Amino acid sequence: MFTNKTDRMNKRFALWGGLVLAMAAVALFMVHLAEKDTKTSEVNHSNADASGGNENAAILEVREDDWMKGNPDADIIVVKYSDFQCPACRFYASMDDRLSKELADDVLFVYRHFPLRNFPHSRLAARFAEAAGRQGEFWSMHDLIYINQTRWTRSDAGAIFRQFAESLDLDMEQLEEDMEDPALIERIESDYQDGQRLGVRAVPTIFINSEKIQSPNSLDAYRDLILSYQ
Amino acid sequence: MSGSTSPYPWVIAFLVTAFVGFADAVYLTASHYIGALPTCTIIAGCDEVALSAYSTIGPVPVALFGVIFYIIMLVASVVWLDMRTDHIWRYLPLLTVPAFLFSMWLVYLMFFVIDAICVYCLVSALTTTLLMLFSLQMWRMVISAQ
Repeated sequence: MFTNKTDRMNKRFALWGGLVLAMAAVALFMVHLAEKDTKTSEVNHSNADASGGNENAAILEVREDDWMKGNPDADIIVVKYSDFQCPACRFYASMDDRLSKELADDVLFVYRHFPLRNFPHSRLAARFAEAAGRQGEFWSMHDLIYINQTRWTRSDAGAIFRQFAESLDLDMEQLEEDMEDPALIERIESDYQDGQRLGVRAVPTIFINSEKIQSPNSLDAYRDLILSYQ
Repeated sequence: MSGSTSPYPWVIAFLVTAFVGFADAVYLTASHYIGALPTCTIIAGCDEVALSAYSTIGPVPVALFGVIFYIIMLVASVVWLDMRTDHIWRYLPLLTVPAFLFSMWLVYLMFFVIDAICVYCLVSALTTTLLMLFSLQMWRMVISAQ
């Protein structure tokens, strides 16, 4: 009888102890995983020194035809791979907009396309922005597209982009023609290919002076991070 | 429960499913509180769902309710393994059925309102569905044993 009782207690202990331990282990592991996943962009701080680093550095070098804001001779260069339909990118677009005004003398901000395939309108938005760019209005179009992202993301995006273009007084005929220009489409695609070569797996992915950074989660953190490169 | 089939395999299936759901919900809750801005990735798509207004009820992330739900399910199955208290299966559908309906509502929101897919949320929908089916099976066994 006594042993039966002990056995029963042992079984109880094993059951409940096992449950608590298993839950704690699973919880710790999942929290760790979540932490790791939110830091996926923090890959390799010395990215540029790694093998293939030269190729990466070459891709990240500012080109004459890049879309940029800020001081072209600045020592700090922020290159961002971004997607027009991604909500996180909208958030960074507004931070970049603020910081590019605030730090206009010290920083150069470069925008490159990384349209994800899971968004239906990303590439169309990129083409509109590029075509507006040929008429000197890339950034205005860029701003309109991001600011109104929730408006067009689930509706007739093309019609809304056209309204934006009209509001910027763009030559619509020229715009339509440029949108179909294979060179323009190729440019977006080549940004995307470059991003893949750089190991971009998520948008936005930001490089400061060729170093892939962990995307900061506030304006202050972002500003501090940029200025730490001074 | 004197039915010809043993409820034991069902309880184990229930327990394992609740564990999967628990792990999944902990992950979603942790992601919420770690608070780094979600990005959009090539493989998993976008954390648009986690970013959306539907991811919280007041200040509480929906995923935290999931954690609590799965803990109750885990405890319930261990209570049975410990004490064979069959009558708990009589009451579990009171939780698993509403959880399933809520989960379906979230799936609806995901596909038709937020228009983005969150893999971890789909896993949770699957585990709540399974938990409901298992708990209904146990409920049937308890009722028919009477």
